[in-house]
Amino acid sequence: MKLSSCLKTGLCNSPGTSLYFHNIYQVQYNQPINFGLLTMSQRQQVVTLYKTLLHLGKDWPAGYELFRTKLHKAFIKNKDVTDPEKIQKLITHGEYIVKEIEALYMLKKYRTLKRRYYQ
Amino acid sequence: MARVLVGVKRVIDYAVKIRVKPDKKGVITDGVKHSMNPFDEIAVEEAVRMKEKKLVSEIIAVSCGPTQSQEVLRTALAMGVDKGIHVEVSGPDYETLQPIHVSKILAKIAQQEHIDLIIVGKQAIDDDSNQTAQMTAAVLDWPQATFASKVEKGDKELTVTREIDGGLETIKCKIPAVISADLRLNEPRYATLPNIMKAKKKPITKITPQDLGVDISPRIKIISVDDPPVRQAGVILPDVDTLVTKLKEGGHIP
Repeated sequence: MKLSSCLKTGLCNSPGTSLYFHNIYQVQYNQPINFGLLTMSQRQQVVTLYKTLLHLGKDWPAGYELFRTKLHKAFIKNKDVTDPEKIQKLITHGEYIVKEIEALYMLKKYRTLKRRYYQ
Repeated sequence: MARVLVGVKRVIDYAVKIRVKPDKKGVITDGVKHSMNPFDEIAVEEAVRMKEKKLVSEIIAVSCGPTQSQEVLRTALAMGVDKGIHVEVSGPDYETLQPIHVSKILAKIAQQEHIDLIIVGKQAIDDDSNQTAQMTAAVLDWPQATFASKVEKGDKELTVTREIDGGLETIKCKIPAVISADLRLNEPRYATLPNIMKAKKKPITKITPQDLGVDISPRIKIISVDDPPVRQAGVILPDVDTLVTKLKEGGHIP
């Protein structure tokens, strides 16, 4: 069977590269909300997390530059961590921060509108 | 299943300090951060939640405005809308575009796309007109459920809780209908980076009001735009007696 048809039918049983591709296929088309973090390598997870945070930083009240510098510092601080469990903990913490920032923005907008229109 | 139309407007971001143009004919928009009208975000969120509950089959977002309006359509697509329609109105036409024109455009699109439910924000935070939903309902002769803070969709009817002065009102109306979203209807989701990327593949159709046969000639002329009055500086008084005298002078106490 050709690799491409393997990918479409999801019938890849052989280990190695094709399984890897199979996973990517899963990530891109079948899991729209969770970025497929479970199937990504830790390195990819960290990069995605960094990009997500950078994207969020564009709306930071005190300015993007400040946010970017602090974010960079926070990531650099842990650059020598090699223990996979510790890395996983840090990633989970990062995802928690993402949720917190989203909630912060939502609350800020809600409160501003409430003050402007409902008081 | 129902098809939903949501109206989204590109406005100056809520966090930006608004400045009036020196000629007093409008506000400064060049180089100012714009985003989707917060009430429209709530409208989009409501439509997307209905789709997630499998109550609606397709969501279409419409935005009237200059080319940059496509940015807010993209945001809507990233939040979960299926396709976008950009009605291009730019330059001086856009400055005098009023809810009457927008409601006619929305009504025409609703008829063309066989829409069952229109959801819009109750008002935009730039002109604060609060008329589009009501006028659209009038043009289409559909029932309207304005200032919705809770919407339950049945098969042929809607149960809507409305925010009214000093309380809540629950109404039932038939579908098709027009809903306008109030602040407490839901908490809109944040358009995540991967979803924004995926939204780039979703279609946006570009049309003009002329294609729809809607006349957008101005009904109003902007005479002047002014800043709100500035709060006057306070004074520090040495003692209570002076304060009492001052208050009497100002007529605040007898």
